[in-house]
Amino acid sequence: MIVLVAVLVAVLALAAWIVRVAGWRFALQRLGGSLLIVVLVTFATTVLLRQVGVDQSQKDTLVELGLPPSSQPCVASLGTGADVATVEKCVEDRGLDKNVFAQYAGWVSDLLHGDLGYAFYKNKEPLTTTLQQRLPRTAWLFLYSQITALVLAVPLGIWAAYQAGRKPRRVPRWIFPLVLLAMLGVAFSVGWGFAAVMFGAILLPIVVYNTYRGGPPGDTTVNTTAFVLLSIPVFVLGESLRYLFAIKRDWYQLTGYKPWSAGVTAHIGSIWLPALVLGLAATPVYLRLLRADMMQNLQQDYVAVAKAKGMSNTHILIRHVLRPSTVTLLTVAGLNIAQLVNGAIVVEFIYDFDGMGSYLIEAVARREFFAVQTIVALVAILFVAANTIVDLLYTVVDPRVRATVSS
Amino acid sequence: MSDDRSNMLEIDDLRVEFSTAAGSLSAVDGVSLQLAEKESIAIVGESGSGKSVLARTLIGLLAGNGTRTGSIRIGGKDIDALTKKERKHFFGVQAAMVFQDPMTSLNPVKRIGAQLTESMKYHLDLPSNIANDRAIALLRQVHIPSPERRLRQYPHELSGGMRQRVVIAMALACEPRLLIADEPTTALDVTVQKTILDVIDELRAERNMSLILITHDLGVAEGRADRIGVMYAGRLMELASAKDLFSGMRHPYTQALLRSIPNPDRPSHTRLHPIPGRPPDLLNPPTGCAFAARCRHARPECVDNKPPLIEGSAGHFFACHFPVGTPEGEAALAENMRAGVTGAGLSLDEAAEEFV
Repeated sequence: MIVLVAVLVAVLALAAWIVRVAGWRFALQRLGGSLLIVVLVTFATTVLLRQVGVDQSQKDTLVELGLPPSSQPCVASLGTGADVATVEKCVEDRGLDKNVFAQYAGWVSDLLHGDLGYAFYKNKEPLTTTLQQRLPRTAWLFLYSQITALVLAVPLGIWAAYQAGRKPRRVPRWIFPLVLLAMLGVAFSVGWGFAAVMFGAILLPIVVYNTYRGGPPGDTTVNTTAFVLLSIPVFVLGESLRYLFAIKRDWYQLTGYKPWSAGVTAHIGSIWLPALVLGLAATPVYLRLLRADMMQNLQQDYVAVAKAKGMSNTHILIRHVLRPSTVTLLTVAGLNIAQLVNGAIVVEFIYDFDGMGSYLIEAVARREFFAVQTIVALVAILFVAANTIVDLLYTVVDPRVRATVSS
Repeated sequence: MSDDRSNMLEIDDLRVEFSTAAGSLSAVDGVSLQLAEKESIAIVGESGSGKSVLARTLIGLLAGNGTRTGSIRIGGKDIDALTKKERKHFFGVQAAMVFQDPMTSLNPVKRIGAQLTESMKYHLDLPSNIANDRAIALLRQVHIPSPERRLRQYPHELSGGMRQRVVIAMALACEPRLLIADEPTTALDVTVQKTILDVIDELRAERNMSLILITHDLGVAEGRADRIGVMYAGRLMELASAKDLFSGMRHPYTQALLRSIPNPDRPSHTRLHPIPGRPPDLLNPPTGCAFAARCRHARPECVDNKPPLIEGSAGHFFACHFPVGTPEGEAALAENMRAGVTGAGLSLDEAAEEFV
């Protein structure tokens, strides 16, 4: 109930804001469009559901029990051992005996009444319970990973963009003992093997390259490291860090998620490593996007004007250039919201983290198509909502967009 | 020129080179200049003459691949000898600059008010409300109607002329003693140009500022500046008081520039006088006078020796072996006319002018 009220308040606040910023016409257009997308996507899942196929043994069961082909999805969920009455009840319950529009109408009506169906049809566990249990976990994981990614990417991206515009120079010599010291630190705390791989494969080539190229070393180092990180698949990153921090060292306990109510330390302790992995995976993308936009905006005349006014570099970077440079970053962050439901699959699997990702795998593996349909609808709604918000954030970032939407 | 009066600006043998992929490019090639307090000087030259680089160098805006030699003293202070603390509040306070294109000079995502007040807050440490009041006063001084409302607006809500007024107000926010205006009217409508120049004149008189007006338009320079410097290929070719320059120009380049201005008083279909040829390649500058290849006075000597900038008469400097209006100059021109070709190989046949 409280959740429902909170959602309602949030939606109303958002609507009021849209109207204030962009006017009624844009708001109605935008919300109407969003609604249409959600309806189309969910209707498509209903149509797809009716096309669910079954394997030969299940087909045999259908014939054996004398059931029509439309009950295939029910047989798929319930398995070959189900009796006729159960299957028929399921067919009626899910509206598979009616035409596709009536079935869709029934599904929407159920949804609006808060009935999301079963998470697992066989044991009749309601999906709402599963969502209540698993969605917060993935939501926290997503939130922490995005915070990690932004905390790493924004300052480094700004710094790299600033360095890129400076005169080419060689790496100062004091860097080398620092690198050696860092390497020894990593070696003693994590292991010589990891230190050797990390410094051998990533840092040494960069340092050597910079030394002989004489480019802006700050930018090249950050950019190359981001590129290396970008090309490491998330499962490799996840497995290596799990090995290093959870198996070789006991810095992370693989004991499963602990909620906030279990205490801050326990909560953070149970989630920091998967969040770090997801964050590190998103960091290079954000960093490179921000760096590219910053570099472009640093060429603008108003930057020269601000310099002529004697403003400091920090002031120019943060107060002048950062805001107009976040447009691409915002777009991609908005698209990343899909991770809230499905993106963390690999990481959740590696860390035995019972969130939405692992549930989705299980539901698909067990042919719980009714639940999958509802999850897909949820993804669609979240995705559309997040990207509508991003579209509106453009108007905050750049007032010129406001002028074009409201006219 | 007397040096006892305190000079607002002293430039001594300023050279700026850019390292490019094609080699080293010399954009400013040994410019020396003094500007007294309250004095105004116009630097005139065509595109690529180095006038904008000169302006940007003066305000400390040299691009990453540029190197500078020679000294610049602003308000008696050598800008290379500034301490870190002095430097922090130097540019923008002692000297300020107005840029060419008002459409891109303002940050599109920041309100006018924020852009106007930021330097006052940063350099003068003014609290917001006082900075705001000063911003309103500044907008009034540049004749922007309803200034209170403008502070809340974004640049895209203002016209080009209005934006340039804002840019001027912004430059004046910390009350600089030297204003550098880099082609402040080039991107504007002709009808707006005059009002902007009038605003600059008015504020200069009010505030006793020194002014460097960079322009490619001799017409803009006329009547707006005490002295005029003509720049070509990174060098000052002629420097004189405005009156002397227009009445008794010495450099053939200055003369060619003036001749090339279309005069609406002349009957229609009168032949225009373009300057033949192109400015020299700065990656590979000529050994002699940079203008020799396009000059009607050029003799073989001009191709071999670079003429130094000398003071011909009091306060009138020019860099030419055969100046206009002198016996040597007239003789050189007459000799060239007789031969039909200059000492640098330029044909003086009038009909050929159309094809260059």
